[in-house]
Amino acid sequence: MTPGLAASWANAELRKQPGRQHSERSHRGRVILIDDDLEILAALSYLIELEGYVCETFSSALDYLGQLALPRTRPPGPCCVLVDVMMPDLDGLEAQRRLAALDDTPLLLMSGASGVHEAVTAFRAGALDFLIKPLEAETLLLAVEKALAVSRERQSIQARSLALTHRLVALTNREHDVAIRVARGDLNRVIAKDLRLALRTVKLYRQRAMEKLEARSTADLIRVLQEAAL
Amino acid sequence: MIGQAGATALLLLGLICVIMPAVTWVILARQHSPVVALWCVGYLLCASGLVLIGFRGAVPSWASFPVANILGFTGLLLSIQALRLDAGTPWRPGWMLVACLVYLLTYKALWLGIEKPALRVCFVSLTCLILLTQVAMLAWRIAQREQSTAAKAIAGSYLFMAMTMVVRLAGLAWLGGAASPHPLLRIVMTIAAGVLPAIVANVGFIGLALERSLRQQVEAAASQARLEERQLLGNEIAHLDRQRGFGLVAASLAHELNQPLTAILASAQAAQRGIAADRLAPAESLELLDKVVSNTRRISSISERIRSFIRPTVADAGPVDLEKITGEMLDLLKVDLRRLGIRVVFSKPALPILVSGDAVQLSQVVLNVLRNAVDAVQLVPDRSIHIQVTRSAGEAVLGIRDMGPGLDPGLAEQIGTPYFTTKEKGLGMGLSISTAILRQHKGSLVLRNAQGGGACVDIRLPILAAGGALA
Repeated sequence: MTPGLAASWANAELRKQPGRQHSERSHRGRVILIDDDLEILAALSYLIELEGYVCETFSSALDYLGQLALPRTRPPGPCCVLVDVMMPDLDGLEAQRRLAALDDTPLLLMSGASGVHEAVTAFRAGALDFLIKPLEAETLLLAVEKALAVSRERQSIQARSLALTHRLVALTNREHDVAIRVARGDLNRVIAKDLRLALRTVKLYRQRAMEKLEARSTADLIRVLQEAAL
Repeated sequence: MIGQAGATALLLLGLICVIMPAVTWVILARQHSPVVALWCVGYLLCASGLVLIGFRGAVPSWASFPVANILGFTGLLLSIQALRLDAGTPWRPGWMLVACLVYLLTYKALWLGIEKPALRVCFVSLTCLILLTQVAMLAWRIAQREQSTAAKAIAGSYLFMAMTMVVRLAGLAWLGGAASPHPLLRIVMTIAAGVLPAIVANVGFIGLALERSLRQQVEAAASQARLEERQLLGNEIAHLDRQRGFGLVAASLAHELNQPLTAILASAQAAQRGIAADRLAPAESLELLDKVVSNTRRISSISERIRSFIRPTVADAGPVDLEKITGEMLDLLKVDLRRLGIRVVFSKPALPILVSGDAVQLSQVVLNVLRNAVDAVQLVPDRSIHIQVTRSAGEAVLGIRDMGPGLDPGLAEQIGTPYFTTKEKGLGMGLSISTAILRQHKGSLVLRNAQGGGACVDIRLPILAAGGALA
């Protein structure tokens, strides 16, 4: 490693050190950068960190996958992966396949040899963007911003569906059956007949289900259940 | 008085006959050819014979005709031998000696035993006729083979002399040996039969020799030109092969150039944005500029490598470090090696091993062999190449062994011949060019199946110096 490079690593560490600042940055976004060329890692991480993101660098996709396998809570905030296609031990496309199996972190690929085949494969496997080296700062930062936005949205959807799951779990079996049928559009009378319940009981269960699912109207209930079904 | 004149004429003729081969010798002595020597000595003997006959009366009679005849006979035999040697079918010297003895004894017997001079003259003339015809035929054959006018002149002159013998024999038969022809006629005949052919034959012989040396010079010049042309063409082909080899790694090189370019662009733009937003400390800006500089150097070293590899070169010799050029060629293939997941095990010598030669051409050989190995290991799961530089018996040996499928024994003979290839996109020139380059460097390329599988190529070159002496 050249002295310059070593210094830049040290700097990158410095920039990361103050805990509060780091968590602020992390909230803004975390970029996982994977490239086997140390010079590129250093230069791109500089550019990304200047924009106020956290940049974690790995010189091999295997290193990153190994780190993901560790049982560790991940810092909050949006996250995206920027990986080089042409790498010796595990190329970018294979890394993309393995990462997709683990989680839904948005992925950006970059390559110098802009093979159409590689690009198509990458997009089919769900890559958000395919960047051509050398990267223009504008293009790179725009792509990163977009990827982080996608990540943020995915995370919020995930959080909502998690909350919904918690609420659904709180329903009793009867309340759940009634709620499903309400959402399907059945009338209270029909539900009572189907489930062999008194009309009053159905109304009671319906009321409790709506309270537990935090639905203010029937329409709200339908929406909540649809989301939960996702 | 006229008899005296005849003797004088013979003497003159003899002198001319002595002078002519002497002139021939002076002119052609530089060729150091046994043919020329035999011819000149032969002619000289004949001439001496004629001089002796010219002096008859002045010398004892036993020294005149008998000696002259045997000299003439031997001389003609040597002339024949000269031409036969030239044609590549000389007589055995022993047989010639026997022939001379037989001739001498027969002549002596005729001289002593039988009192008929006509028979003796007849015998001598007949022998002469046969020998002269023989010379004429040999010369004619040369004339036919080489389309040489000079050889035709020789043949013509000897044929003319043979004809005079025929005339003489006819005269003998006609006059029954009772009387000699008119002395004046004899003088004219002698001069016509002796002087002119002597001059023509010798000039013809000189002409033939000069024609030949001229033709040799022309042929030597032509073959030299062909050699130079082939050399030039060889350089041209080698250059094309290098360009093609370069073309094959061009995709890798493009990637290799892209990496530092990416680093430069990112660093420069980081600096731009950082400075514009006033978010960079001067130390950080300097650091980014350092990155721009170091990566630019990286690019220039790559482009230098490309340039030195494809520049058209005339072979020039200098010390070449085999290990160094192998390392450079591995660099050139680096991206491909990594992309294909090929492991290279390179065992280097303790001290550098130097050979003498053209670094670019030898690099080309190494690249060709490495590329073959790369192609071979792609066909198997064990993608590894073992390289080692060693010395053995005064030779530097660069061994490149791949763990590929090895060589098909059925094809082993064809490998290395131009245009033979097992590859779909191959031109089949790689190994033959490599072999040619190594031959120019007094080295060799040995291709064999290694023990334990795979193919092994040994590049052998004479060692220039013990390691370190020139480093």
